[in-house]
Amino acid sequence: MTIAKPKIENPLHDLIRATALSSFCELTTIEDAELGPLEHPDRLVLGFKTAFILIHSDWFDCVFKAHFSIATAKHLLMIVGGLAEDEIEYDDAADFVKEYTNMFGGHFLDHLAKAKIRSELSIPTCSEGFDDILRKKDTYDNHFYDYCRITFGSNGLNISLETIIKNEQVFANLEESARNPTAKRGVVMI
Amino acid sequence: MKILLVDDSTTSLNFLERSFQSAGWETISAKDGLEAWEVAQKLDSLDVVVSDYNMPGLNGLELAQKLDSSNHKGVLFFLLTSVGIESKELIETAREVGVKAWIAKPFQENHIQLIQKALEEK
Repeated sequence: MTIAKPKIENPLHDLIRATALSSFCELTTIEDAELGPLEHPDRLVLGFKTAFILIHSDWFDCVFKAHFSIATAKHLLMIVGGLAEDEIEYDDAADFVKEYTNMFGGHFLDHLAKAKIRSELSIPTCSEGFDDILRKKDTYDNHFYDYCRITFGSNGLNISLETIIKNEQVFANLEESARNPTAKRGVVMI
Repeated sequence: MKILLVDDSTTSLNFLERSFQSAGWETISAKDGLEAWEVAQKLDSLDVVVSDYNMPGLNGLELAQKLDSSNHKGVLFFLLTSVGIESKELIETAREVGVKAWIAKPFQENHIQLIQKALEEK
């Protein structure tokens, strides 16, 4: 997997981009997925369906969105589930991308916990239709936006995210945590 | 062996069902914690619960707490989560309500062997 160098103004987005791609590769088992820029992020619809999850902390808030078509979601589920296209229900296809945002959120929270940033995750949800309303830009100094695309073969997921920074200490903590080992994963017996 | 599978993601739940049924388990499914609690109350016996953590209504840990105070106290409970373990407080709470292990999502078929082993050692 490769990550194109992002042109962003918020270092938190570096972590979000990397986590978006690694979570995608882990869930789908597609190892050669790539993350690059999204062309024309200002267009009216980035995807007919949008799965999104909210991350809240005292230091920042984040909305992470995956914009996609049902054809793309079905394609992913065919790869992961080993199913034929006609075996996949419309809702199941959308649910799979919703689960992707959930997995992204969990992994992102791991990184935040390591950086001693206490945070909470919403239940992921999905909308349908014109998605520009979900991407209205505010002009406040502490609002940041980023767009990218995860590409696999000829398909792709469009990603958009926004963060509202409430305490810039978040950046210093993330820098410090990058030197520490990651959270325990796999199976943890209690 | 009877297992209750709980996940609000239908694709994850379908995968869990297929995996455990292929391994010869009798599966019962619920699409969230509240439904799982309703289902469990009607069951006389239950060997294992595998439940997602982040769900609307009752989350996985809250479901474990409810089962721990019911006739299913002692059931082997495995929590599926996309979040790693960082909080000692959370681990202690989970231990107190009988959670046997945290399993990182995505669930993999080799996790079934781990669950079978835990059941044999019980």
